[in-house]
Amino acid sequence: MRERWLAALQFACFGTGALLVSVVALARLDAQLGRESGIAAFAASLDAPDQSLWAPERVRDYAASLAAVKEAPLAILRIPALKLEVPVYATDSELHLNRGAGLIAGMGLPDKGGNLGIAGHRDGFFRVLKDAVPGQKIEVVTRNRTHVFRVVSTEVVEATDPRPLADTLDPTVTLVTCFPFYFIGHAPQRFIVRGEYDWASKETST
Amino acid sequence: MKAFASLGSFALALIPAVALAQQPAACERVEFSEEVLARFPNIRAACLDVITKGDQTYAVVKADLVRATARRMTVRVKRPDGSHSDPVGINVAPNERLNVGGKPTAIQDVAIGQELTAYISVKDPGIALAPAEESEVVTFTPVPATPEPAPQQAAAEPAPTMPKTATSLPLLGSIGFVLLALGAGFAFLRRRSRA
Repeated sequence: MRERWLAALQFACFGTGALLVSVVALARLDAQLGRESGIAAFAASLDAPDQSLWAPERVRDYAASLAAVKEAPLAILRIPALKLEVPVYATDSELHLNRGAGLIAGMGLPDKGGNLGIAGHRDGFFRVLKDAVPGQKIEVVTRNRTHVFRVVSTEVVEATDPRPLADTLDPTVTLVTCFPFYFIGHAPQRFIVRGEYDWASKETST
Repeated sequence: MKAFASLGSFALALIPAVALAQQPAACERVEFSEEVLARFPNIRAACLDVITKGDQTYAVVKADLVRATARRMTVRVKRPDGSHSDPVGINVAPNERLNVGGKPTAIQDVAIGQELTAYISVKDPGIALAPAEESEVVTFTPVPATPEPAPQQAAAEPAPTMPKTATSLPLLGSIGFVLLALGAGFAFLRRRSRA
């Protein structure tokens, strides 16, 4: 009888454990593949066809169609010193954060200035932010331009603190992820990396 | 004859150089009002040309775009040493087209960091962006004595909130490994009970 109970418990633990570990492994694989396909989709959208003979309305419609592609990222976020390169999607939904980073609703847009808020998972692509230090270059590549920012500060704030999300007159970027970086369950704080526009290394169109 | 021809070509070659040299001279000669000098103390240094159209005279400057909304652009006027003025707001119409690097560009296609051509009125403190066509009427936005205010959250829009940036994956992974370890423990117990 004891033998049968032990056998049942052994198979139940092995089965459930293997299932959970597989789910985590598959989610990690999906995140990596999603990141790569997002970057590829963005790069493909930069290679616009020859539009020299097109009517202005057709050029505008073509640009609108690119923006309307459901899963096409709006930009690419790069921090070369941290070897971070992720697609930036229009929202910070669970799906988008699994495959890259997402814009925080109600904050600035990549080409329009203000405080550009970008969120990412602390147990995914944004874990490298723990090594962010002032002076590091942050690039936000859009279809129009490559915007260069420099890290000016990092800080830990409470999850209810709205100050880092406030709008700014000059262009800034605010990267947000959960803190502590290694924590099981919902982390109570947020890690903030703040970058200011680097006018000295202002780049031209992409 | 040859001497005349070479003299003529020398004079022709000089024309663009003379034209270029006249631009700063025009900026030196033009009289800026006290109000304009109070708002833009370095206007004479930043000035690249002076244009008179109808009863309006204005200085041409370069400015970097720092913020763009559908109805207002905020720029910083560039000085010759590469530094910038304080931010200045300019009202625009949503369907307006600007001259960006010689190309007509719709307002919605302009991106921060782009260098724009701006006009500053020499009489009253007002600023405008160069329109796509030179023939278009230039509408100046008055520049107040107070600095450009910090942007405020519109009352109708919800304030941004901190995103949820944690997943349950670490928890699931940890439970998975604990269960695998328990399974190994039960297997060990079964083997021992058989022996």
